[in-house]
Amino acid sequence: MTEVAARKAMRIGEGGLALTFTLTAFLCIIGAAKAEDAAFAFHAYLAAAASVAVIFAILNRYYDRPATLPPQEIGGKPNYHFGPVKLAAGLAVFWGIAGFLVGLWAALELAWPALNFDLPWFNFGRIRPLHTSAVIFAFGGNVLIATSFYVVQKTCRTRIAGELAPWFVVLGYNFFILIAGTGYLLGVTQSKEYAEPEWYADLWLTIVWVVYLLVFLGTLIKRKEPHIFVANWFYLAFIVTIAVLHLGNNPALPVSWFGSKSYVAWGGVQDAMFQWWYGHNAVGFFLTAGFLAIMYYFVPKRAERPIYSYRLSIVHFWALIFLYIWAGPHHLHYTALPDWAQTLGMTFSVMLWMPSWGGMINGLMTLSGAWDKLRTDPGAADDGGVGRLLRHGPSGTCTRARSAGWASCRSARSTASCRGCGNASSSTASSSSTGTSGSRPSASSSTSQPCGCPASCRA
Amino acid sequence: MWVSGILQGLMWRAYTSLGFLEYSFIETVEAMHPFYVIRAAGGALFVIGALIMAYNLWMTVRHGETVPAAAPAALQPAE
Repeated sequence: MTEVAARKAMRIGEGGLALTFTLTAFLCIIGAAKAEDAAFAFHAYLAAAASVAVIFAILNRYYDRPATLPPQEIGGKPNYHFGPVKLAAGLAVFWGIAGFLVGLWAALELAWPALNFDLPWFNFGRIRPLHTSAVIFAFGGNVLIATSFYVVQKTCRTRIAGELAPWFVVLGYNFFILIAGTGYLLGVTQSKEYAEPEWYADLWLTIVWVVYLLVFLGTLIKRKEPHIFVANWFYLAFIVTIAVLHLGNNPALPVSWFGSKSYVAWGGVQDAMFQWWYGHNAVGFFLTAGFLAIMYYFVPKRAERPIYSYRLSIVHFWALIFLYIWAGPHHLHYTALPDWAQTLGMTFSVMLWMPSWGGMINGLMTLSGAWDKLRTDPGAADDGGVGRLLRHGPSGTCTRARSAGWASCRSARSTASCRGCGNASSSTASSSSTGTSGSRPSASSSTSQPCGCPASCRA
Repeated sequence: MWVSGILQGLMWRAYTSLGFLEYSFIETVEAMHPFYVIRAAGGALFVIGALIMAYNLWMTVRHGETVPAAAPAALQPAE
């Protein structure tokens, strides 16, 4: 036994990570001691505790593991690494329930406002973004990490790149969620919808996301399958674009290195444009590209049929990538954003129905002729809940396509309303920016409601 | 909530024959109340569904049986 222990050496990754987190723990304790505000101190203590836990986990794993690395293949078959996948899937369920519960609470607060108990932490303004971000980023994010780590291994027929790195991605991302979630309740926000976590959480997410990209790329690079399956294209687009969006929207200068408050580098309408370029494409690449990747692996897999048109999947992939990124300005209809930029965003939003329907058609046609599987796919009988996917896959595919088509229509700025008249926009600016229909201004211009613009403009 | 949004919008812009706003703001808020209750009921269904999913997942993990590996499907080359 001693010989084995003697030959077992700590790898650079293990030792380096343990040292890095030792340093991080010290820095966090110093940060907590010098903190300017209570929320920053709380988050610094959380980070210190998490760092210590990680050091223990790494050392514990080192003493338990065999001396050699897990084999890449066992008996000619890839030795897949599903531990991080299972953890992320379980965490997705946990955050899903937590996020839905908070959403229910927010809905109840609207009906019965007393349910905020007059406590600042449970104010609707904090609970509501906690709900949306928990469902999108905590629930959806863990689903995407879990499935991407599963699909990329399966379709590349290789073990995932790195031993600690996939664990780091899952645990690091969920620690970001913890910081972000508690930040919402404590009122820590940079006041950007879907990008509310403050600078230190943003920095941490950047590190985690770069590792995520490296793990994904590393797995693709060492693939045994010559072709890169289309689902991996969608996952890669999701990972790369979220990184670009995050970096674009979040550059900020903290007021103090020991405080939670920061000021974003952009100002005025440029900031608004950056924010909705981010906000719109967070939906486009988190909730569309990522989930289409899930569809492109699991629907053909469960239906045991090839994708209806592999060519269509490639075409609508590039269409989605090219069109989506322009559509952000439709969140800023009737605001100080220049008219031409609003029209540009609107035009691309209308064109977006094409890739959105491309994905839907491909998903549904893959099932064409296999609809009986919706009834007979033995979800409960032989493989547990996974088989149920077929029953819910198509409805999800349709719902997404329908809502995307609807969004394309709703993105249109009414052409009948006062063009070139800034005054009419002010009353509706807030509602337009939250995505409600742009039809109200046109309705108002058809009545005698004063909008403050000269009559010539209304003709 | 889609219907409630239309109701809210129509109430906001309703005028009397004398040109005054027909509804005070708080009246439009009160009109939303039943819809808010309905939405909360819908949210409760979501939570129940998620709890059933968690139960299903847990029982699957506990009583899962290994599925025999399927024969490799015939692959078609990608275009």
